[in-house]
Amino acid sequence: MVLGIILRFTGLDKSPPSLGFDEAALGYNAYSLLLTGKDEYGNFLPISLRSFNDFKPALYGYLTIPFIKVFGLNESSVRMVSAVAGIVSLWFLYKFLSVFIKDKLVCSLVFLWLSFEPWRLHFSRNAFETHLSSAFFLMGAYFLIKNKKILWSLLFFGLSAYSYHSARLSVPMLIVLWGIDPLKWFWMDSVKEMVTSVWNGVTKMWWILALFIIIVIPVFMANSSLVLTRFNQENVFKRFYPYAPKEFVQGINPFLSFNSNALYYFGGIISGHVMSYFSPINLNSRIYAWVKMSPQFIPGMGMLGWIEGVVFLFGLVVVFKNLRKSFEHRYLIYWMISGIAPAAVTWTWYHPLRSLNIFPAIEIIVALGAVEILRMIKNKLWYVLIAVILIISVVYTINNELLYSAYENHGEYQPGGFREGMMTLKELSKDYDQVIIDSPHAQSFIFVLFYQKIDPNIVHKYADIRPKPGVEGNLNFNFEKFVFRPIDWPKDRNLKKTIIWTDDTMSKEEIEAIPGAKLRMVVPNALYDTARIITIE
Amino acid sequence: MISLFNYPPTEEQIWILMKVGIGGEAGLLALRILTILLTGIVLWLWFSKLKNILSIKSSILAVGLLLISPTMWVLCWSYPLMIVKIAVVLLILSYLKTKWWVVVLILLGIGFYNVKFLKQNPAILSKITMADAKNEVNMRFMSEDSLRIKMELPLWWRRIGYNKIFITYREVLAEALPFLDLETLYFQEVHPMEQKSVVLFYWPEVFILVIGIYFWVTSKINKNAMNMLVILILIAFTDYLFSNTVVYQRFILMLIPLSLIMATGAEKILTNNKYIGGLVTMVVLYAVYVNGYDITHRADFWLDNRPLVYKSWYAGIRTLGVENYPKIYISTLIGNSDNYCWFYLGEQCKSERFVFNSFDLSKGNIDNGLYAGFTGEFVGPRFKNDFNTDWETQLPSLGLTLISKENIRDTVAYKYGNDIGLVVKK
Repeated sequence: MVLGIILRFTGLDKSPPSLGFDEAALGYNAYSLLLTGKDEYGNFLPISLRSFNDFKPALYGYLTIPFIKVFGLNESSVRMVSAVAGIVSLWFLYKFLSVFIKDKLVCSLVFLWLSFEPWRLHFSRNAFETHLSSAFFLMGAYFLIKNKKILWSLLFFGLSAYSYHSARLSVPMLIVLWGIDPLKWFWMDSVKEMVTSVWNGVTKMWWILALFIIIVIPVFMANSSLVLTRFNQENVFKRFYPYAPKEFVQGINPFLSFNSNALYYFGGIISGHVMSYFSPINLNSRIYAWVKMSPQFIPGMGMLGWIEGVVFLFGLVVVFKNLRKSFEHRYLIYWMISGIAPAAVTWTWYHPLRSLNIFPAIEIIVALGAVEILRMIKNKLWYVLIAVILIISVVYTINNELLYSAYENHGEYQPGGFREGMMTLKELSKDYDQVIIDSPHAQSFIFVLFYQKIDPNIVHKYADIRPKPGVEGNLNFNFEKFVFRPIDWPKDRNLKKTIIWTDDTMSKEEIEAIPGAKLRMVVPNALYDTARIITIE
Repeated sequence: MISLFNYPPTEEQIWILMKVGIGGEAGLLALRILTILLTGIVLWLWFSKLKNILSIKSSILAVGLLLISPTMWVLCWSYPLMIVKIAVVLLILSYLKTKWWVVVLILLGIGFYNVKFLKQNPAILSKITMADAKNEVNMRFMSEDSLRIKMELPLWWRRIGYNKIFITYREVLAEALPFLDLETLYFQEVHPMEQKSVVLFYWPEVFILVIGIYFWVTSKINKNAMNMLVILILIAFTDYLFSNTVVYQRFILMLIPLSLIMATGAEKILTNNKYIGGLVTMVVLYAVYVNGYDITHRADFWLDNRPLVYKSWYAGIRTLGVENYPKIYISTLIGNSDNYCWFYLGEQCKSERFVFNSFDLSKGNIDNGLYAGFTGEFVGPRFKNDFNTDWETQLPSLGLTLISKENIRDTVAYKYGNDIGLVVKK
């Protein structure tokens, strides 16, 4: 736990070296809530943050407020919530492992190993609402399996649902599966026995389910259809239509085609989505394009370390062996299914971010596999070899997350340069009439708001002119002195009293050949010079 | 419509036909019939072996599941050497007792067969020699050192994680892990990576696999069957590691152990609940139909497109008449054009009239004759493979006349376009 704390809180401002858009948005909204009680659009104590019209669940923002109050608005304070969630999640991982592994020494050693999983380090060091949600989900799942303090379970499940969208589907599914325990039906002899089992399950869980629904109703009431915006953008139903090969169903209803029925292919897509989370290669090493192009990307490895995907298979065998006699083992399958469900109905095949709730369950299955392997090993020399490999693997993972990730991820999603240049821009802008920001990065306005700590009351005034919900892509808007647009030098060279922030690669001589223009700063990011600040008198 | 049944011969079929000296469609048909016969005999012997270690129903189902796999159809029709590999493995396992030395012999044999006989160059060899690991270690240190804003970790600490031995271990694992790739094995019909492959198993069969695994790990399975399964997986794994070809061919030996596991699952489903059993049977049969329809209507989507290129060129040349041209230039961008020439046009290909080489007509100084090639060979290659659809309008300025043109579904010669054709310089 001590090592875990050190790894999660050290150098949060340096690795990753710059904020992503969503991190900056969470931070600035928390800042706005702290100062005004409203989000960046002026909505009073919102349940969802409209942000980039993606309606982020607001809990992460609220929990960030104390850190901003104490440490100010900066990278570390924005990431603190995720780091704390990572620590709490570790503690509950240990408690969960001890449900399955009774030997305390073995349990502790397996816990030590799993606490360095790449996904744990990566998601703890970036501000992700989904990571917070996953931690709450784990806590809720723990109290549910213990079947004692159910109200605690409800509380954490509720918090999970207020932290990220996925939990709003995963939690009720898990509660239902926990209650009715459908896998048990396979070993029942009569329909009567099955009906009795279902009835008992329903009486056991209906009130928990009802209370959970009541808890999450405000989420849907507050923004009604807007909360579903993200789902409308990402769902599987629209993206893959007509599901069957297009050349076979051209001009006909694909669902009526006998030769290539859409239902057959749609079944394949959904089944594939579900099974992809059980595929060792996905868990271990395969990187899909949509993962690589987002902040969830862990360079050089998958969500798990370099051996865990195979050990996961052994764990599955252990789960299978115990399915009949152990509810706890069946619960792991229910956990997986309910965690996968929200991701399975989106268009992406394997999407760790949307299915983060399942990764603690995967770790427990890996742990079961590891214990089984250790049980099979007779020669103690193997223990030494395994220990050496695991230690090197952990060191590799730490290096990879703290250093190599910073290098690889320093692109579109973590643009950088804004932190380095914004203070200079702020100082200069006092003496100029307008500031033109010409940045290739979408939604670059959020970095100006964040790093210049723009008074939220000013931003609220512009809420009405900002792109309406449903609009995606470029969401920049002009406010006060700040104008967001590409530079057109033939025209813009005639501007007066203007500051220009541009990624244009003109040399100092070329810039200063423009009458009144002066290169004030070459803005670096973690890897290269990314922008220039130019003033025109 | 390009069907599997009229798909042109693969390079290995041509190679075999050349060895026995029988070319043409009749020779090809005979080879295909022989391959199917060999498959039938071997599967029958395999069934005879299986029924001693599994139930009769499971044995029938195991062989049946192999037979309905589109990969088996494709191998029988187009890849006789792959069928020979399966046949040898199954024959040895059927007739020899499963002693450790037999298994070692098979493993060594497979490695030898792939590397020496099928001329494959497995990536695992470059991993084991640490050549790739050394590069990666250097790359990681250099990348991290180039960061201007970073956390400082001591060099000795970084070296613990970044060293050739560990990176080699990691790279070997990275080579081995795709062996457990569910997507390739069961979801080729809807595969997210759009890799070029044939369907190995239909997606509904993945659920039969899950049930099969359940029964293999919870029931008291015959010890001989369990040993056989482990040996088959080991052989398939070795074959996977020491091969380097299209992905479904790397998995062919995995079809056998998976079919054993699924057969047990399928038997349990069929015997435990006739309604669910009936439903599963219907779904699987529909999957067979859907995939059968697919591969008999767009085989070029699933299979290597290079044989189609040769077929198009040589069919065109035959129609135009070899004797009408002083020289006939055939591109070798995609392999052994001369072997295919022998298959389609016979011994005349050995005459000096035929020139087998790639060419670039856009450079001028073109000899008179008939040219069979790709767009890029006629009008010059393009780095991004982005040719205009009306590229043939450039030909008259080069003194060339387009005789025929055909579009190939896949890119088989990058930078040279997806159109192939015949042009004449008079």
